[in-house]
Amino acid sequence: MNKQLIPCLTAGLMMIAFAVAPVLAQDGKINISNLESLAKKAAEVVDVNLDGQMLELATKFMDNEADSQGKEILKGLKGIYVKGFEFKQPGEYSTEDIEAIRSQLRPPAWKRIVGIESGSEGERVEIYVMTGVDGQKIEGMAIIAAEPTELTVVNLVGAIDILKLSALEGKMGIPKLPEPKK
Amino acid sequence: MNDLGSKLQAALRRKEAPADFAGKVMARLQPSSAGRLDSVFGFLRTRPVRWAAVGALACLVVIAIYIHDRREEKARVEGELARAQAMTALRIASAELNSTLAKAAKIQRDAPSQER
Repeated sequence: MNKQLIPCLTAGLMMIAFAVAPVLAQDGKINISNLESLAKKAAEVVDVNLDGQMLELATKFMDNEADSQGKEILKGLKGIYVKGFEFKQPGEYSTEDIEAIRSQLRPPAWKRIVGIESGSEGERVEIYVMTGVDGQKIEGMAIIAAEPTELTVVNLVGAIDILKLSALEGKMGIPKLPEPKK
Repeated sequence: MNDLGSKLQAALRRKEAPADFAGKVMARLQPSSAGRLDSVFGFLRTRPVRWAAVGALACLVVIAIYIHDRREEKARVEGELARAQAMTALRIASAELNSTLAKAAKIQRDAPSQER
């Protein structure tokens, strides 16, 4: 009996390890390089690629008081990646372009916390977060905002404080959004 | 004549070289190393060579300062660019986050009134 049990246990543990390893190995960074081909069709492009080293360099140059809140947020981050496109007309990007991003944001590693779809305006916004092993601390965030003539994908890697990020509104040149109409 | 002949014979008679003759000749052919160094340093101590050395050193210092300044300038430009990109990214992330949360809140507020 013992002779059969040990190999079975070993195989079972290995299967669990193979299943869990991809989850543990993920660090909140997703691959958004497939969107680079959209740059040729876009009227305006925002492309930000800042890894840990560049973020450290950036924080060294954020000495004034206006940048202090941004510096506080950047301290916990290991990377910021943004791809933003503004097109002259609708239909310049496909659902496959977005699906290639979305396919990387599946459970159990990622969790969608907000998903809004406006059929009339053709607008879809999703926010995904990746939490740490304890399920409390956010280790990664992905925002996909798709409109007929605009596509924005934001990937933040590292410890993120959503409250602090949200509180940047109205500061650092970020315009305060008008109150929604009641 | 015999006297002259005998004198000539005596003068031209083979004489054995002294024991240290070969050593003395070789020493004259190969000057000492200390003597060689002295001649080199002597050349370097001349005024034109000294001025040339000072000039070369000054050029090296200027070049080193220039390279150092250029590297610092490059690092400063890279840092400012990284800062601008980081600010842009945070602006976009914050704006999208707040816009989405505001829409979600509005939907939640409108939902009960629509159900009525």
